[in-house]
Amino acid sequence: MKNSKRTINSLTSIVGVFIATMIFGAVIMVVIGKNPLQAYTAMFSYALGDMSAIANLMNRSMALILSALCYAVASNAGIYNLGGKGQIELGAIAAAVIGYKLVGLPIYIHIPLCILAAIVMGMIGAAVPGYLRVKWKVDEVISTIMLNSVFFMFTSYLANYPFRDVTRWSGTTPPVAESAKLPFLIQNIDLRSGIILGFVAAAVIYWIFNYTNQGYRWKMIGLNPRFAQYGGVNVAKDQMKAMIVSGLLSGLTGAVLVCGSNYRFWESIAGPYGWDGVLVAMLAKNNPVAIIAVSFVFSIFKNGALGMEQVAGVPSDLTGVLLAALILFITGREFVSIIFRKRKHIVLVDEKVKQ
Amino acid sequence: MTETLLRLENINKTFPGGVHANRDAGLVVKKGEIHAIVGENGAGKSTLMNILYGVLQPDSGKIYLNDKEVSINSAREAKKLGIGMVHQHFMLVPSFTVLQNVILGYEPRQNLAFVDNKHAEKQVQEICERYNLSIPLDSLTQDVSVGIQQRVEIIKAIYRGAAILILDEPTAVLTPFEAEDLFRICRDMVAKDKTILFISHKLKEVLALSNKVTVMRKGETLVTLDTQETSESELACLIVGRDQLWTVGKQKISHDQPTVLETQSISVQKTAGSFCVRDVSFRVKAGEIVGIAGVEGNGQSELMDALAGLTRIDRGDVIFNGSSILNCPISELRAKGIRLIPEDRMTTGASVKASIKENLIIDRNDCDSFISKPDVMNWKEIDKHSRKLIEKFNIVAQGPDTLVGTLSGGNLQKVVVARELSGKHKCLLVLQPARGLDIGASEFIYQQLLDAREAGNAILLVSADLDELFLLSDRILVIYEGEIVAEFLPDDVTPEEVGLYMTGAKRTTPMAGSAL
Repeated sequence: MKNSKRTINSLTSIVGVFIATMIFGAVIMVVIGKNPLQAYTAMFSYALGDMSAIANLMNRSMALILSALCYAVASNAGIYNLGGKGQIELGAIAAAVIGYKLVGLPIYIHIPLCILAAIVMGMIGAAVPGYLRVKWKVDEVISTIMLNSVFFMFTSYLANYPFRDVTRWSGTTPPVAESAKLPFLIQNIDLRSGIILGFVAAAVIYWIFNYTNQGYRWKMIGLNPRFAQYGGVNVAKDQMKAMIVSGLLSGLTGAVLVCGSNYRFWESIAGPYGWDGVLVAMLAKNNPVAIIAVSFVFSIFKNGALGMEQVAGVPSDLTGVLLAALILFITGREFVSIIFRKRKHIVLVDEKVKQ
Repeated sequence: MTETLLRLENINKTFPGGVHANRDAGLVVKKGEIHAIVGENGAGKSTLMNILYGVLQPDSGKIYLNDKEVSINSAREAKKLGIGMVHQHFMLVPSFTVLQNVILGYEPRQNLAFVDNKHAEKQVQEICERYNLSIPLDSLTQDVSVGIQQRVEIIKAIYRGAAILILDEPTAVLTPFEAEDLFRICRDMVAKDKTILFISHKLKEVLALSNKVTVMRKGETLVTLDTQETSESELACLIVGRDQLWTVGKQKISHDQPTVLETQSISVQKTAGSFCVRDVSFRVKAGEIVGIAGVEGNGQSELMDALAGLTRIDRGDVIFNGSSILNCPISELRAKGIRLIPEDRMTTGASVKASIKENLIIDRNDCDSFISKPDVMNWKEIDKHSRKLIEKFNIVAQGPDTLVGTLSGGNLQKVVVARELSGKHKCLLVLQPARGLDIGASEFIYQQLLDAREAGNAILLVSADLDELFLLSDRILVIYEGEIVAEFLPDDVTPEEVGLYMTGAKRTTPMAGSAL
């Protein structure tokens, strides 16, 4: 089918971009007098070298995948949710509070409760700017960004006052109960099953995008909202739905961060995931399968940065340069494919003339 | 006065998408004249001027300046050659002062790095005095009126050394008083050896201001006349043209058909307090095509958008088959059989980045035959449906998965028409159905519309092309500044007469404003 072909194309080109970025980085390292071979060996051994490194990589990728999906669902429908960070924090604190307040529940009730609370909070966090947008045309780009601060302050207050862990010096909730921790995937390396949720979410979104009526309407709105409106699609309603699903995914991200790796809420637990997710989704052009691949590439660079610095003396700031190069190469790939497509188009026109 | 300054020969320009905007267009401009270029929208006036100004490159053709062949590859080169252009939409920085805007990009320097403001002011002052123009040099551009902003644009062009000034519909944004002032400035400038080319479709102004007038139609420059030796009606006749022959024909309608669509003095607001459609009332019967003639921008698009449910109707009522459909949601209007073929097929009528099949089902994406399990699209069925329509409507494309944006204009329009006419339709709202299409595609679309009429549809047709209106309509309404100013049967009237009503020179119905 056409969709799967496109996905395979984008996956192979992501691998190509990854290699190009590494070559680019190697050139820079040679210029500053470092040994690229040594640096990359260190990078891979820190990112993938042992089981706990892999667990780390999985956890980081999972958060990235979910937060990228959150942006992708909304932007695919032509509405931009840049409030991932705040919504993740809302979801995280909800999961953390349910996780430590309720004790003695069996795990198959406790975990779903935590996740439910988190996604409800995430949905509320996204529904507010969504409603303002479709009802009163308040620019959602601005409102979602500003709500990031609001939700950060709010969750920070909750973690510092009502739900504070008094044994810690500030800004965290007490650890969640054992029954609120996701089941282990591999026990001895502390890898819990959050990554499965990431894959499942990506698969579900892929299915919605490509096979359902809702996905079709979202796509049409994203491509040309005026056309969708003219065709009788209720643009406001569908964009609101997209925003709510987006918030749901943010909340889920928060729940997995708490129940899958941190086991408590910290101030700014969403860390860089909110914004890196936006970047990943843009680079993957909202394709859920490509989001998985880009998330892993992204995480390898980020997790390997420390190794490069410690072993090869390459400043960890170089990771920033590498990520920037990665972005350039991915956008460049697009440019190349545009040129390629144009050529193809010209050939088509010629064929028409011959007829 | 009589030496030839500028000569354009055999200019051809085809846009991607197949619109042939200039066909062997030519132009001869003498020094010191005010040369008007008139024609309908899409006649190729702006294209020709943009070629002269270096913004567009012609596919073929030659430009001679002072009998020397020149090639103008950019606006910067045009400026070097002494050609300046004042666009319809001003290109000024609102937060800069008037002086800063005039010298922008061509600032006199002092000590290599700094702008020599004193020198600049002196230079600009001189230009103002020479051409009898007064402008407040130190005011912020955003604070001065549109008329002054236009003067700033003119001075900017002169400052950059323009000997030939191109004005693109200069009076479109001006009040009558400001327009009068502009004319005086133009006369002053040609008296002091500037040459002016101006684009307009307001014939009165053309007659009042110009020495020469060139008429363009369908990309060709038909004729250049001395303004003194022509008249408004002759120009209107030339602009509209009547030498087209169509093979489509229509039968007389019977008069006892029921009324399908009726508007009762509807008004549509543009911004708070200003109306772009005012007190419009008419009826359309089953099996009748009612044409609306008007110069673009007189409210016809807004009227149709409002009837189709894309924008709100602020006053009045719309009756469809006996019940009010005022401000119903679009999906409901479509379910009742009211369908719009919009003028802007690239942005409203189609989604160019989506495939043909995705475009064909936008209005019925949730109908039972296209959904297999709850909410899952049945792409197989949709494919079949699309193939059928592609065949029936003669759409030249590889298949249902072809992106609509890669189709030619005619095929794109056929996709729109195929979708609208394959669904339930009782009332068609059609805008500029054949704009930019070649004769073959136009005839196909016309035939589809006439077939729909035959089948008992009420059709409202907006067009800037009077040929089209006379060919298809059973009745013609004329819209001017948002009001219906006249109503004719096409057999009782000539296109020139309709042209007079379209430009506001004549009206039969009383001013609706008094009734508000």
